[in-house]
Amino acid sequence: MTTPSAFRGKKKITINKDIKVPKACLFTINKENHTLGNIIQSQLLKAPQGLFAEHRGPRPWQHKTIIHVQSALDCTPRRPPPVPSQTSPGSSPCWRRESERPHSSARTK
Amino acid sequence: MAAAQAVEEMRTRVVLGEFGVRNVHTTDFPGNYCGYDDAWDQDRFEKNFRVDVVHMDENSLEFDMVGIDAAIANAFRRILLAEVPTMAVEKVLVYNNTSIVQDEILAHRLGLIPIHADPRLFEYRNQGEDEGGTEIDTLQFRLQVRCTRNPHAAKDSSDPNELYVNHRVYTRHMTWVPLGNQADLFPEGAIRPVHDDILIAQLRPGQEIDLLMHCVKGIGKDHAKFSPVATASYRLLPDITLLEPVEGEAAEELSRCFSPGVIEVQEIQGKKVARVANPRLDTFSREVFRNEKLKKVVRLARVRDHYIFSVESTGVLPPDVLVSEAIKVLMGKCQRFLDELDAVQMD
Repeated sequence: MTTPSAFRGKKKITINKDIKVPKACLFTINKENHTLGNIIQSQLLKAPQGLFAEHRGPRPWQHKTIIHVQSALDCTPRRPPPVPSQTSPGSSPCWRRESERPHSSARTK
Repeated sequence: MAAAQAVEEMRTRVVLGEFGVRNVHTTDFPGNYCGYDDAWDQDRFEKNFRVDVVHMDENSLEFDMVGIDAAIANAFRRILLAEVPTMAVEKVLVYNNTSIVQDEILAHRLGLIPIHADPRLFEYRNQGEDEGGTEIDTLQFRLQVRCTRNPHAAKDSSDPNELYVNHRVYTRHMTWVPLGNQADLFPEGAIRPVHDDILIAQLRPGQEIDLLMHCVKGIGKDHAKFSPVATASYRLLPDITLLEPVEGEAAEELSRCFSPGVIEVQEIQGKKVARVANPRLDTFSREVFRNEKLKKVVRLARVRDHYIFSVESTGVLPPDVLVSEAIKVLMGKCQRFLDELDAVQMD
């Protein structure tokens, strides 16, 4: 039931903009629970640009986590502060920066 | 000074008071504390992080993980319990069951038997395939036991061991039936139940159990029979501080309030003095809070980022392999998440 083949056809991540608050996003991740959600939440809080981060599982019978992120004004929830090569406002969120570019944290200060 | 000490305590210790626990949540986020740089820094993390193996034998492992956040330690614990795959009996084809144990109860019991087969060598079975699985995703076992009366038993014996033959069905009666090329891949005796003395059912003369079992790969989230650990748990490292020197009779009393070995009473210049020797051994029964004099003298706390993990394997894989597999599962999850994030467009 929870084998990888059970998963085919469903989108893993859906991203919705949060309309009530500026610079905030809701990432709905299917078939994940607190194992991943709590880690992502705590790492987002460690990022200096993260203003608000929370993970929640809306209902126990719905197997998904929702990660709610709000970032500071100089970057969007999806991507870290501007890197010269990227022009579009949709780059990877802060945790991605940690895993892909480990030295960029020194640059952001 | 006192303020700096209090801040250190808030940042690094979970304090166990008489009526409650304080400082439970992680608070060292950037901006919370003036003068501290708490932003995530890969180098600082790598410098402070360490893993020390304290004790390891073939079925259990105790190791310390120092310098990580509670969320990651908990993630490892959850993954060890529920997301590291193993092989277990899933389908039972019952040819004959005249025993007193119902088919479904028997099938349930068979599912819970740990099977000694490395799950990394197998694949998940595709859903929707009802015919027998292939050699890459299924293991077959046969269980065929018939109970008969022992003709050589004494006339007036009442001991079932003497009167009957095969009246107890153990896991050692399960025989592996290799599929396809499995006989070449796995040596004789490699694929078997982990323990051969698990009692499956009891029979009396004339009763028979004849069935075929199919094992598949699964994870604990699906059914607890797939969980590879007897249990996996962690605790935080205890930190006991004596706020004032404790001498004489009070020292003896103090050492009795804690687990043996935690408080050591030494003779210094004729006086007995208490000293915290090995706080790691303490189980924090908080007996000291029942003593009016001593409860003011001691601060019970736990170090917030020092996790003492205890992993007990069911025997399917050695516990150190289980921990590596759990780490790989977490890495796989993160990588899949990153890939999906790239693929999804913002709407």
